[in-house]
Amino acid sequence: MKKLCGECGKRAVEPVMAPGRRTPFRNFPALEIPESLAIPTCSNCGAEWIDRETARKLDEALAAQGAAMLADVARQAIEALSATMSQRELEAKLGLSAAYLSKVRHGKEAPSAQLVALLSLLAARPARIEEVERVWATGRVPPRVVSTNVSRVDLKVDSDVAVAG
Amino acid sequence: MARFALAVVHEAARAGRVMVGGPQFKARLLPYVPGYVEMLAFTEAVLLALREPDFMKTLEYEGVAHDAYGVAISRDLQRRFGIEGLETWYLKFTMDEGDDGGEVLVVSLHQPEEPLRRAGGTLPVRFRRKT
Repeated sequence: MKKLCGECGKRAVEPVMAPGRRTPFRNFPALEIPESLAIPTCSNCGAEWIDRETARKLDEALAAQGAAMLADVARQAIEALSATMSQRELEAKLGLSAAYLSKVRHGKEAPSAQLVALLSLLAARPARIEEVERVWATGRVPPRVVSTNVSRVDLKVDSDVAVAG
Repeated sequence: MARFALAVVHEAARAGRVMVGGPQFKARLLPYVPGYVEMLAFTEAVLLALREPDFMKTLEYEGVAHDAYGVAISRDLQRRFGIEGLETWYLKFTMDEGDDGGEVLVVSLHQPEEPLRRAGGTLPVRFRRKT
């Protein structure tokens, strides 16, 4: 029997599998919900209804998808940075255990979102590793650099703002 | 007077007979919790925290009655879900009543937009995350 929709008042809620559904999840603004995952949905107004079982399945599927994305981005960043420095050198500068990045690169360790964010920023501007070195040497955060010498097109910035970096 | 007795709502929440939905529900709650399981668990916990003085009014949409509440949740509850400082919440739900005790269908649970005028007195908005 179909369930009541609390939104439109029609008894028209039943599990629906559909492609193209997206949802925010943790630090990800929009992950794709697997097509095969049924979500109770109202056929009248389209409202989706989440119960305990659906919530568990969503978390499981989205966590797996998020972890796969983190692993992939980490691998890309490590490969990009390998042109600038050795993995061991990078591990030492970031305070990571020896061979940790190799394990991440080969899918044997799941990187945290924080590490992937850091690796991504470094991969985009490898020279910033020098700032990290200065932090370890001085115990101080480097002074904030404000520069306008960065392409707005590259940064997709359309207003006239100074860019910190 | 509320359309749905709190004793029945509490019983459904304790049994996990709760669904959350509607166009804005997850968009307004997911930023504060780490996932869907926690989103539902938080909703159930807030339902269980409701008391009669928290009742605001009954609204009718498309012929369906919804009870609206304004509630200040305990520090323990805030701590449990990692949302210290987010104390006051607006909540609105209806019920799919049935022989099994019914299911609570929660359509709103979010930051109040204005002070909450309740049966037990007006509750000012206290919704600022403590870091």
